[in-house]
Amino acid sequence: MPVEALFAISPRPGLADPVMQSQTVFRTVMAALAEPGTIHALPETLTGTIDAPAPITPAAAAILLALADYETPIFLDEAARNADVGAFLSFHCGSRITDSAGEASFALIADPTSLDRLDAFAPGTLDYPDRSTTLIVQVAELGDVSGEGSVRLRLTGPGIADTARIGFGPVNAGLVAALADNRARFPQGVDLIVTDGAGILGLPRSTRIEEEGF
Amino acid sequence: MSANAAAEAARPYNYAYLDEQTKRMIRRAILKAIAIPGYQVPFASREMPMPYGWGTGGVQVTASIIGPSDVLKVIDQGSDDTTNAVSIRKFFEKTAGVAVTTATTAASIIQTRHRIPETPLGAGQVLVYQVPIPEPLRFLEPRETETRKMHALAEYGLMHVKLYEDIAKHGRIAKTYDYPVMVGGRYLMDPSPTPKFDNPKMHRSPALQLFGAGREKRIYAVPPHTDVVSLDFDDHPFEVNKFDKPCALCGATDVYLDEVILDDRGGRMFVCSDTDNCETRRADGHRGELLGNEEPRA
Repeated sequence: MPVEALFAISPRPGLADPVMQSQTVFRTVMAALAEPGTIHALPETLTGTIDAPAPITPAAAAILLALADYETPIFLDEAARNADVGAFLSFHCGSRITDSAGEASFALIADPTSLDRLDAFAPGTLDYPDRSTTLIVQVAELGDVSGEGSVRLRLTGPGIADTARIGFGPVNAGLVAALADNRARFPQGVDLIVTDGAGILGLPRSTRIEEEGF
Repeated sequence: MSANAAAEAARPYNYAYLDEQTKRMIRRAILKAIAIPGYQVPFASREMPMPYGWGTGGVQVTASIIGPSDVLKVIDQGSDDTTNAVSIRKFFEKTAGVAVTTATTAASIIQTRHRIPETPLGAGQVLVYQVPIPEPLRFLEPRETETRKMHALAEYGLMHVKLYEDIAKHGRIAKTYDYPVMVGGRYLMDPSPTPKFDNPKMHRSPALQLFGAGREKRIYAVPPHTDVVSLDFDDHPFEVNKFDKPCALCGATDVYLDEVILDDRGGRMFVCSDTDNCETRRADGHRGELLGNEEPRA
């Protein structure tokens, strides 16, 4: 096969400086999960350089490039399940793309309006609750929301001094109830990283979630 | 080639010593540890260029989180100047190119062996503990399978019995360090062998607290603003260590003191274990017994 043909099918580039950029991404995700309800932004200099195949946003791509590898099967929701995404992630991360949500370490949710339940993902066991899926949920808006189908939440729990208020969406109408069920399973459960393309919001299983009206 | 990439190429090993796959594995463990406060996440601990017991767990955690913009402080029993603290600080200066400090307030990451700084920590700071035995139940139940089941079922009666037996034997809970805590009302946690004097500082601290046990291959965490409650009984409430005298050098009364033998005729002094706190107070004009007992001029 001529080299030009290889270029034609090769996936798009990943992180330009994997060592330092992975550290930046990780620290942002760590801060987000340690302080649920606070949006932590990835630097524009980082997200601006990432050209991931649709529908992965730069932030979601950065998180997977920084944290996923051959030890972590990735589940793609229906909206994200295409050959380009699969080739991009398996090339850069070396991760296996899995059809089974229950064995995934990471799950990429490109269309949260169809995410109505969380119990299909791995919740870990009572002995090993860490063996659970981390969902990366791409939303259109994060922070102040007004749009149709978005939710406003009141958060309490570890990482939150008193109460935090945050909105995002649009998401499935059943997601808030699913998040409450997820909290009720503690210490089992899944953890969510919600991103709008630059900002990152952590929703670990330890966070208590109530819906607020508009 | 960018400046970063050039520096990278010139370095004989990867940034912050660990290879990237190891860092990813540890980073994933840290994220799960934060999501399940107090739960010990198993991780594939690596050989480090220092022996077990010298802080290999804490060093691996720090190496996985640290970046060039961080400012690192390392303390050993409160001191910035002891061998362990100095060598770990140098290790990260060399391998991660970070700025280091002894000032608690200037640090973004503080790696500690068995003390929490006296200066209250702030939001955004990360405190990394070096932990020898992460399992609080280990000396009561040697089998990992059993202690894991106890954590799964939140069955911590054994620890309460141990504390009760202390009271029956000694009239009080005799544990003065390594004092067990409940995190977030769910997991029994070993705060590492910090004096119980420091336990109240963990409660609802605005800083993120990460714990690394290298030999035992466990990472656990207490996120900011999380309840950390020392176990006790209604009629034997938890109390911190009290000291009869103030610090002999800076006159502080509300701090943890070390006893230092001065001569072979019984001479001794009590002095701040937190050297940064003591030095800051002396710079502010506070004087203890051995320095003339002056209070700062108004």
